[in-house]
Amino acid sequence: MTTRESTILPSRISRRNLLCGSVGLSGLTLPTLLSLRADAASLPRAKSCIVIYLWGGIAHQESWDPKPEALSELRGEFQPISTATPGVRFCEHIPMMARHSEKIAVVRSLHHHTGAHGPALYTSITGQKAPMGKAKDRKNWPSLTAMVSRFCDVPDGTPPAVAMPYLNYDNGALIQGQFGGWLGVDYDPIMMRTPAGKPYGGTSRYTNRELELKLNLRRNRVEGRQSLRAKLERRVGTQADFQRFNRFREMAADMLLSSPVKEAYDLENEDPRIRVMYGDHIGGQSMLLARRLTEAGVPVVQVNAGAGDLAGGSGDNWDTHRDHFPKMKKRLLPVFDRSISALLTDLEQRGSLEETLVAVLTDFGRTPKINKNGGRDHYPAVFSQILAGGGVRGGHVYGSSDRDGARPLANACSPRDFHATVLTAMGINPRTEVPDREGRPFQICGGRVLPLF
Amino acid sequence: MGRNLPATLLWLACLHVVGGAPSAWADEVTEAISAIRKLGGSVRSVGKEWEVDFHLRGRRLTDKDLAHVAILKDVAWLNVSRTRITSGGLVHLKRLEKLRWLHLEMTGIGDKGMEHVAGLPRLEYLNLYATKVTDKSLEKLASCKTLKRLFVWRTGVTDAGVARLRKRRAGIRIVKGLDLSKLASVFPTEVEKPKSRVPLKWVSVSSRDEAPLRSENGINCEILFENKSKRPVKLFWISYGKGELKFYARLAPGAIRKQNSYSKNAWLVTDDDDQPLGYFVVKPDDSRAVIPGSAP
Repeated sequence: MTTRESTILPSRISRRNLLCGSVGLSGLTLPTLLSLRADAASLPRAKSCIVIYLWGGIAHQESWDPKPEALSELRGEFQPISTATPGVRFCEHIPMMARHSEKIAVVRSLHHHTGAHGPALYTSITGQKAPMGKAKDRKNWPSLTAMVSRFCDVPDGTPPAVAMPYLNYDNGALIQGQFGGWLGVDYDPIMMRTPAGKPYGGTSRYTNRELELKLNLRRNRVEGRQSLRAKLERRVGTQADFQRFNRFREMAADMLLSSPVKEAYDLENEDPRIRVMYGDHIGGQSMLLARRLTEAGVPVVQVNAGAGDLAGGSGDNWDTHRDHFPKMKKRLLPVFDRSISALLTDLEQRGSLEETLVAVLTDFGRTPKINKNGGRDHYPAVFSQILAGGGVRGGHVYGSSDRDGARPLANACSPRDFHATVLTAMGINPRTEVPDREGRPFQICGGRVLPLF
Repeated sequence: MGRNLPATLLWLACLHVVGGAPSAWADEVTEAISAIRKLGGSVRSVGKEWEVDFHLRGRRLTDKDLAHVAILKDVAWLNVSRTRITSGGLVHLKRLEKLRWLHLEMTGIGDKGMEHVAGLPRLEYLNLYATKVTDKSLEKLASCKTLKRLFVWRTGVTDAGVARLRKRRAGIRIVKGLDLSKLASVFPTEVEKPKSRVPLKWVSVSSRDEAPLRSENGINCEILFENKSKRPVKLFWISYGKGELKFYARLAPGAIRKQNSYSKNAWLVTDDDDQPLGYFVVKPDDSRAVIPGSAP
């Protein structure tokens, strides 16, 4: 499925680097070889990754970085609560996550320069500045999900990356940066819907026109369709486009027929009490499905938590320009808190949290100033994201923001640095070079690895 | 699965050149690797050690097959979860002196043979979730000085057994997981409570022109439509922009329907022949929209 640079020893050294550095194996001295191996052995390495994307931009003040000392007009009505980690406080409306703080590394000093959703999602999920272009342009930078999947071995019939339950749209426009970009169509995450769970209130009005797998088809129907397709193809021929389309169809058929992924998709197989723990809505059930898919060998799963279309911030997403506090308190934070803490509990009790990296990303933070509609607006100058599991040191806060949550105060860092950290946790060297479809080498990230291990 | 093979051969070649390892052993290792792959397992070289994994495609693995893994010796990470192995296979693990991570979860293993696991000199991580082990295994594992993390959710292990092990070996983090029988009280199955809903105003009309031209955008809310008239009606959403009519549902007499919508949206109700009867404009809260019985 994937073509890897090299599988020799240090897990993610590219063939190119190996050749450049040593003129082939003959030039690779034993001490170099051993030191490289030692590095590889000492690195933390997650086996799979769950990316949770909070579409719309979660307020850092009302989540991971409460600001009780802020000026009264900026402070907001929520109080901080203490967590399981002494000295670390979260917002009062994520009490379950507060109990998990020993598993979480919070980065409170992220910042970038883009205040609009589309380019901000691009920057956050690819680590790069957004170009002007189409959502699915192959010149776009690959999403973090696609990039990680590029380096993972998967068994046949297993998608290298899955995204669910919606793609992210802003007022009907599909957002750039959610796909495989220059890595090629092979690395576009496969879209899936959860087979259960009530939709978020703001269900996307724009349905995904991409491949939506309905994994509840019966085997004989799938096989019947395959034989019909084979007959049709003999007439149509095999043009290049057709072959590319075929890849998805074959993967879909493999998934329908191969047991681990199909088995994982069937949430009926899960203990009902565990299902209830995640919450009976598409957000919680998506996180449950993400856990089941990673167990079944899918290396990266992205859960877009929030309705698919922002629609001016009116749906159940994090773009809270209006009625920020009641919306966060009643609809957004309780759902999110319950489902993500269920995910951490569940991964932990199965012993898989140490090998599963959970990364929570968002567009940006929200303004310290509360606007006239009782909302907070877009704010990229400082925001927070978290990592859990996958060898990341929990109970840890990296960087800080100032008193009002307006600027990074210590250890300012960028989405690219966050990506470098995620890639490193997955055992991928962020400076690895990968060729695009034309064979041009690109350094996959180049950010600075944050000291979270 | 064959992708790792060149790396493996290269590594073996290095052993030959650098360390002068006996070729018989190298042959044995090559054979073991191909046997593991034949069973559906994967072998990766990481540093000087191996990672061996059967849990995705090698679930046919049985006790005797573990002998192939034992030949590799320098295995640091082994995952045989969800396979067919039992306690009888654990004896093969005792040769794996470099083993640090061992996944045995969701297998048929029990207390028998746990002494072989406890005797592993470098074991740090042991996952026994959903197996038949009991407190007896924990007693044996107390002798494993290197063990740092132990997972025993859904096993026969008791709280008392965990407490005893914690007393003897304070350094081990033991994860016993959630008690699912108590979980139901923490998260009771949600019975939907009837929501308090504001009533929407019914405005009778006789033509499309009397209804709003288009819907405006607003905040998300839910409407409960109730057809209290004596005949079926059709429900149309008046779209944004051009104000097209989009058919949503046909409500039989007495029928109710929950509908996701947005405040300032407009909904047109017609009879079965698409003749407009009336409309509602949505308020910014969960609401009730009653199609009145007196509707013509």
